[in-house]
Amino acid sequence: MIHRKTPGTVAANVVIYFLLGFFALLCLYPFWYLVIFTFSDPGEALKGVSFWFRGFSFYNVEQVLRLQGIDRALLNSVLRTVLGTGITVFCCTFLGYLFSKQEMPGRRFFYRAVIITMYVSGGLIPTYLIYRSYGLTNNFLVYILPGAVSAYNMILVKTFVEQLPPALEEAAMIDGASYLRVFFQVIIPLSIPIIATIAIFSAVGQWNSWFDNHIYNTNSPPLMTLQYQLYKFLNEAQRLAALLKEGNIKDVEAAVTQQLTPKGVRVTTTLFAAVPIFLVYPFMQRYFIKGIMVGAVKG
Amino acid sequence: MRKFLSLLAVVAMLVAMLTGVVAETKERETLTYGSLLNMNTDKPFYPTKFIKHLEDMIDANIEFIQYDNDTLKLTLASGDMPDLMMVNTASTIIDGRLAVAMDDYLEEYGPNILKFEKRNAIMREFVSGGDGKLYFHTPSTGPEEMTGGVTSWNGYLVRWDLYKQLGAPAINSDDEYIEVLKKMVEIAPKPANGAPVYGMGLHGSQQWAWNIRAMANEGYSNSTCWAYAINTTNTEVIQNYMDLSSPFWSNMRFYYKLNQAGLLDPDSYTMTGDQVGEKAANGQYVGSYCSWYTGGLYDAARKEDPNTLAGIIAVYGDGMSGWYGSNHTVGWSDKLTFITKSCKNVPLAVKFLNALDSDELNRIHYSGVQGEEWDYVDGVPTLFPETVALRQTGGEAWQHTGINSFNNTIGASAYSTAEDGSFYSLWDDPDLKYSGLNPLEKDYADFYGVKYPAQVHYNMVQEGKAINQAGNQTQAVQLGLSVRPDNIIRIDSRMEEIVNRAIPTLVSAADQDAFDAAQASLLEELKAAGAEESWAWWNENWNGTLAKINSLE
Amino acid sequence: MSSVTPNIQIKPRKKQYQLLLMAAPFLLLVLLFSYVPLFGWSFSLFNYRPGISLLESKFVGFKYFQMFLTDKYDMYRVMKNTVIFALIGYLVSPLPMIFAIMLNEVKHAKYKKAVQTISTMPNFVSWVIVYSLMFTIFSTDGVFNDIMMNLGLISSPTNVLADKDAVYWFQTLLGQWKNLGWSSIIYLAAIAGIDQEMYEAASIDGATRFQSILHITIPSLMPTFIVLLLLSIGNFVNVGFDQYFVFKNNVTAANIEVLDLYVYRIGLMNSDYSYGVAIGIMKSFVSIALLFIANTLSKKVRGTSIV
Repeated sequence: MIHRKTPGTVAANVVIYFLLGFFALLCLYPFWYLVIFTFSDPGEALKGVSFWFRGFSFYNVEQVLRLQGIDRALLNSVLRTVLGTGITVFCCTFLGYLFSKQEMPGRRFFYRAVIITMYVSGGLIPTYLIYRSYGLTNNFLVYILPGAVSAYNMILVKTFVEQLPPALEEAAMIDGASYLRVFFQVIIPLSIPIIATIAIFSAVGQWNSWFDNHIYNTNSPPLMTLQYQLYKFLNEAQRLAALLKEGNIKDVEAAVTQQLTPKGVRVTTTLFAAVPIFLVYPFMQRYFIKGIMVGAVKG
Repeated sequence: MRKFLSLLAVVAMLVAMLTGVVAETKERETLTYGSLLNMNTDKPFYPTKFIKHLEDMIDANIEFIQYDNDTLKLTLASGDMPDLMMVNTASTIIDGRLAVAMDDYLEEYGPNILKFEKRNAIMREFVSGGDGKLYFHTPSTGPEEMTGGVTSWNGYLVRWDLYKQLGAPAINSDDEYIEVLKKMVEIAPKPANGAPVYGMGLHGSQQWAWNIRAMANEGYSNSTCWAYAINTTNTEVIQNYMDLSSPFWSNMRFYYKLNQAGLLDPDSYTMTGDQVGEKAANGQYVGSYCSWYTGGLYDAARKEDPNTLAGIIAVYGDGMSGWYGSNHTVGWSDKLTFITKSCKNVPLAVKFLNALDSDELNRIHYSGVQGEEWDYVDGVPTLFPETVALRQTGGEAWQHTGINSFNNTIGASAYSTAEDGSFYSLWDDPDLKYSGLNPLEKDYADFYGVKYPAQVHYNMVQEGKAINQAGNQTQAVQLGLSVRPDNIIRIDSRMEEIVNRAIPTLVSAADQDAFDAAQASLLEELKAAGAEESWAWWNENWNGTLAKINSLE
Repeated sequence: MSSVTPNIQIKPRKKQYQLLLMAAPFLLLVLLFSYVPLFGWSFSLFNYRPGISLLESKFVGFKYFQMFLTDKYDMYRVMKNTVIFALIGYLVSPLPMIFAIMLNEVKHAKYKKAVQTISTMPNFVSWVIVYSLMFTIFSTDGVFNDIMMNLGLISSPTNVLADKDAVYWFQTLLGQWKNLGWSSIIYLAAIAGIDQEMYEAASIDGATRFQSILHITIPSLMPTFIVLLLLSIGNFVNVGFDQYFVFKNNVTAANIEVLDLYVYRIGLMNSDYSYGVAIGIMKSFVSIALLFIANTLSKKVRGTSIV
């Protein structure tokens, strides 16, 4: 792209750079807060932390690393993220492609049937009973199978595929290529940005989810994930709030005076749970931030 | 492709690892016990010595499962229950016939259970579905805290160094308390970051914080909702919202005046408990509504000066109530343990409950093992000095003893009398309490010439100048109280939300006229929401159940 | 969309059924995991309590539906809040797209990537922790008031967290702050999918940068924008539970209580399972109806539809 540098574009550039930078600064703060809280002296941090460390200590980190089963939880989280993302990306991309084909019999009906799943739920107990009858309680697969076909991601793919210049696919079809070949050789290379996007969506979704662990695998310590561990800490505070609401004095006393999980440990676990994402993120980023050249595929 | 295959192999191995069952041969049977309680089984000090003793007594392992409200529901719904479970209310268990009656096993496996005659009788009457059998077990039956503990969490809470500086003036009313708070704020040192100092601040997004002060001080406790308060001297129910002499209104008048005097932290509507703790640690409060939330002040001050007197502690006014002295005839009735229909070995489960009710295990729970933590000196059970020292040091070595870790499950209360004539808890000795005081508490005790701070209140009760919760049968009534009908629950929760929203209007009213107007409109709104209908139900059912219990005595 | 792919040749029927066959395994998954559990809707017709089987539960018909629909007490206020939050949400819905376009105009690659990464960070911090952050900033002795007082902009401290009238815009700002960077990813991907040749051609024709954005970038992003907007219209009854839950207090309660929060409050008090299911069913129907209405409108106005 060649553009002339007029005073107008320079001014626009300055405004854009400044706005984006300012927003980024605002967004950096929560992460910074986690960092300074984690590494502050826990006694000092009791008085509240705002912009800078209060003392310096590795106490919180040590406390978190000492938790039983935290290594196993980390492994489980990585596994479910890798496997779950791979499977769901394939399912959604392929199904999204199939639904972009006008000639598919019953297309409208099935497509709508999938979309509707975004808005309906059988409720906690019936869903649990059904999944249990499938044998998915105390089972690693419950992290992967139920979410394999995600309507939202599938729609994103379909929308993207329909946007692509039709000429390429038509050319291949006229050459007699099968749907499968078109999918692998034409659609996938062109759809890298959207594939990267749904990959990062579902990877983060997988990494952050704890509810399935909580509901279906709560009695299986070997299947515990990192986020569930974190949830349990955060939930203690919420449970405390619930106790306060119910107002059972002796429970409240025990809860408050035994200190539950100190805020330091909660914050540190949050930090621990977020850092791996930021390590992986830049590798994914280049696929959706840099334009692909359609011409390159045309070859 | 090869890369892909090797990746696949690695993944397959990992999956195998995850699903693989750890084959471990156990000679002992395992009893599973699910509840909402956190048994700390993931902590390094687990299993505690107490748990090991318990397991030895029944010659089986115990596996604790912690539920939350969701997973508890799912467990009940699927019928796939552990051997034993604890629930808050009995009705579903009875209606769904999910529990096994203990009666057939009691003589052989449960002689200790049978000793709790009164508890069992009330339970057979109220939670048996009418067949008179025994289905449930409750913890902590018997007298609760008899001599006031060491310190009180309620009372007129003051910052001790400042209060002494003022000459420790007597406080006998909320108005006098506000005066003292005002004077303390005037002489309070400024926090390092220049933040303002207030009389107190609340974690006020829940009603708990707004209710608790006067409720405890004036001799009431709460029931399942805040619309009603229970008088802890005679267990009668009053309307907390509609009755202007209730603790709720007493609190509203107090906080209104506090706010008028500029002594209430304006953040009180938005703070959580954490944040109250942070501000307290920062030295921003000279008083409190409940001492648990403001302990940070002393902790922080002590780091800089080990002998500091900057800490919040309770002083007492005439007629004030202390939160102790109940005798729970049915134990804690919202902690109901039962043997489930899916129990694999009912006799073993009965043996477990029997152990919880045994003399031996109760002493171990409250005081430790004979010969290790305590022993008889001239026939009197006495704690070893090392045990006392260990408790003061705290930390994991202390937690590993398991002393006081099972309060929600153990059968008898700490102040029940053991077969040797002493309490199960050997910690009640005044001299022992004195030796465990921190410098602040010690200064307080010396100032008033007592062995421990709460003794001031205890003595007042003995002299008839103050009250405690003797005569409180709330737990028993709550066990017997029938389930609130849907429409009453709805009214009660509606009233609670109405009051929630009215609290800021009342407390930050501009002047007395505005307060009175807000009060009138709140009462009006509550009436429209069905206050009378709800009260009719409560009055009839609560007092009816109370009468029934009194007739069983 | 439907008009984009002209049917050049009529494909043999057999080949068309291949499409269905290939989709079948995925549709089966959807059936097993999303549709079979809907048998649970029958729970709404009984007074079900977990622990007592449905067969032994009392049949109550449409009692719970009626109860909800005739609950006039808080319903007006709660629905008003829900609608206001949803409408503001639609109003600011182009922001992620604008953010993505601005980001795309940054030619300095490192700056661009840094801003993009950092802007997604708030997404990873739970609302509970965001609340304690916000308290640190906005409480009466917090940083915000310090700065404002020092600048002389205000004379006495204010606490926006306890400001009933600020609820709608403040919560919206917070929501945007937390999600903007994350939601913009999808638009970045869409921009990346635009054929670069189009820009080159436009540039040769003498188009300015602004003209390129207006005539190439925005039209290319429109399908994605419309799809997301339609999906969110269907979702309006489910606005932001987690966020409003932690920011609800006695002062803000009247304005912040949206439908989900209300259902939670009522449900928690009653632990009334069947009532919750009944409300869920009604919400589903409203969502689906809205989705299809919006879809039809979109078809009429723009000539495109998504479902």
